[in-house]
Amino acid sequence: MAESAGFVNLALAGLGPVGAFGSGVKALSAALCRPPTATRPIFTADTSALDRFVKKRDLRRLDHFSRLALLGACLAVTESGIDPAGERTGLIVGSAFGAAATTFAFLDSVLDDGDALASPTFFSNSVHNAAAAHISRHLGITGPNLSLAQGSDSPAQVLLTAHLWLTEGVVDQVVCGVVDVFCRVLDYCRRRYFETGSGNQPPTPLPKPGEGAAFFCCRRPQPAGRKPGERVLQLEFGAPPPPPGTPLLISYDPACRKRPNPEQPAIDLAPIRGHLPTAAGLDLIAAALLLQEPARFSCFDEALAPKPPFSSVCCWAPGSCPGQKGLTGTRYWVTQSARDPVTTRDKR
Amino acid sequence: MAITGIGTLCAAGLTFPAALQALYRDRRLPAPPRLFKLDHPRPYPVFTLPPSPLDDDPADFRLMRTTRMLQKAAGQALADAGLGGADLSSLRVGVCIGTTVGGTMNDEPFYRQFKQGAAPALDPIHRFRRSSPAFFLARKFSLNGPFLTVVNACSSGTDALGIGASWIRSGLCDLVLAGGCDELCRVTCNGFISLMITDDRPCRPFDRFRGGLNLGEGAAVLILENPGVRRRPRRIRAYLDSYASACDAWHLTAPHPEGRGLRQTLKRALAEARRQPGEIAFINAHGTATRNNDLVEGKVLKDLFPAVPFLSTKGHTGHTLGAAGALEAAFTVGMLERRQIPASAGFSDPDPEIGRAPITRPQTITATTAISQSLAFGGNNAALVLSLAEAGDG
Repeated sequence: MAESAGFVNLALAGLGPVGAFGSGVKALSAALCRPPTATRPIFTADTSALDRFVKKRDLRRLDHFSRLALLGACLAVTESGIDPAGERTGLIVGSAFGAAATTFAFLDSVLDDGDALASPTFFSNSVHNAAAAHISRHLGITGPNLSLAQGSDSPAQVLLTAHLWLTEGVVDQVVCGVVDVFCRVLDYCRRRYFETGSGNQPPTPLPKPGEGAAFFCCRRPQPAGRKPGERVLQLEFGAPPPPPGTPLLISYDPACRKRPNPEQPAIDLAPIRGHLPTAAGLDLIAAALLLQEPARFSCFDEALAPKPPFSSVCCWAPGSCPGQKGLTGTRYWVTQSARDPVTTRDKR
Repeated sequence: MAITGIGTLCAAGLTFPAALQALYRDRRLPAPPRLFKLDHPRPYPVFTLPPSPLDDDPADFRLMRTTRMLQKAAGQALADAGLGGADLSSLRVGVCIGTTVGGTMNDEPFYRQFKQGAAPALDPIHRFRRSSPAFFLARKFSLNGPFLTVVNACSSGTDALGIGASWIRSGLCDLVLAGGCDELCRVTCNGFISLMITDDRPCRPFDRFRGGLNLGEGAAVLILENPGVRRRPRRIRAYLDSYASACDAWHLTAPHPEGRGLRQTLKRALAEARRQPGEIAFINAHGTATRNNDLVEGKVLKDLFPAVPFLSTKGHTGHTLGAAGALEAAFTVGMLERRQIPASAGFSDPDPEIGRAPITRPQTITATTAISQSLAFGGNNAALVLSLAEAGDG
């Protein structure tokens, strides 16, 4: 790895977004072109597109969380054209809260019917790595398989781990992504937490809750003379917001009380996906699509639209780094140019 | 990768030396849960920590029991490694912790109120958020490296150690606090009982008449260090030579009948560590005492390691879920240091279907390398190759 510590280098061979906008790259592209008009109370995601990939009979025991993840993975694999089966493919699934709705469905079975009639189906699907189990089974992925839960930092940790597996030669490709579902209990907590000003956060208008999945097929980037059209992702951890002049997306975080730099072009994609803790995953995919067709920026705010040409787009997700002071987070850089984006941005 | 400190809490003991010593005694005390009640026709024994200040009214605590156990284990490990605050602030330190309960929001009293239409206070939610295991340790010690909570079911602890080691190899960190933690709770107890894989008697790993697992609780933290980073004083206890993992891609809860993923994992772990089966002193098996796990695991061990002794320590600790892999890695190091492996607790009758039996009495070992392995829901398999440090390594 030629990068300095904190950098990750991944080629994004396939993208699999699922959300309130629909499923797949085309659906997200269409949503980016279409200015948001009506708002919804909840940005729910539909997984009926799974019928293209999996027999209905095989889906009957999958809950909504696993279906979202499986659909995202199938879309990413299809877009990439790779064959995921075998031990040279790894799988990583991240989530902030896991299959929360199923967890509470299990509790329903206990509270309604007693301990002795607890539902084994709900329990086994509520285990955090159930989604990864279903994906590996349907896609035949027999390499390393990992599920992780690190809140809104989950996308960064998923991609870091994918990078390490590829760099160390553990696998040749990684199917990886993040997923979160709407859950009325979590929504209650979210509303109480922010509307009552709990947790040292001032009351703030809340964005609408969302759910979705963002999956990637990752490989090592071509070493020299990047493959034309190859999308490359780099990460910086514990970084401040990117410098002025960077085409920028921000993963909306209600805890981020103000934009770090009011002059910074910034786009909030919550109007098309709702708010979910692992939003950075979907925003990354949007960044890759926007890089290909920058005119789509204008649908959000013409005054903010950066003037092309630009070689990279940055998603900045505020996060926490206990050992560092000030506002820090993760910078996700998406580029399609052979020029190293490091030369265009500041060094810390 | 150097292992320089170990800290553990489990039913066998509230410190690592105490727990390790307990493995060599033919005494285990699973009992019905003492911190909460279950309502089943038969009581199912579990392995709870010995009484301690951790037992005080949980509602008074700002942290989940899972994270309080982790905090104790981390403190023990850091003390064992001779690491203080000044050491940690001068190094790039990461945290990688496996858990199941610690990553799941499932507070039953809170949900009962919500379900009844009340507007419950958020205290349990604040406690859950505060208790995110890896973030908690990173914040407590003001660490500046990556932090990650692994939720890979029963292999989480083993996977956390493997990931932590990769962080150091890649140059992200100089040192990692890696391990696992999980408390006993009604949700997991009721869940495993509903799957009909728990025994209403003390568990009997690999035994012909085994009836399922007993759940347990615990925490374990191992300090992984880059051997090239110089600090004094330092004692290296052991080395993490390799980590490997693979997935069966077969079933949500049952292992592949031929142990496909486990075979792949063990072959890769040996290859990465540049070891042959004959060099392995013993294998600390997953050995949950379920019909499926022990059958598959036993057959694979019989095929790949026909002459290598193996055992399960879950007869002394119960299945501690997210903590299991880290706890068993710690025990593996302890057994290597002691040059002796204990009998596999709970075993008495060989299973002809498995074709091999765990050891039934303490055995002296001369080889200095061992394997600790874990199998998990979802078909995950993970293994660590661990070797004893030589006197004076540091």
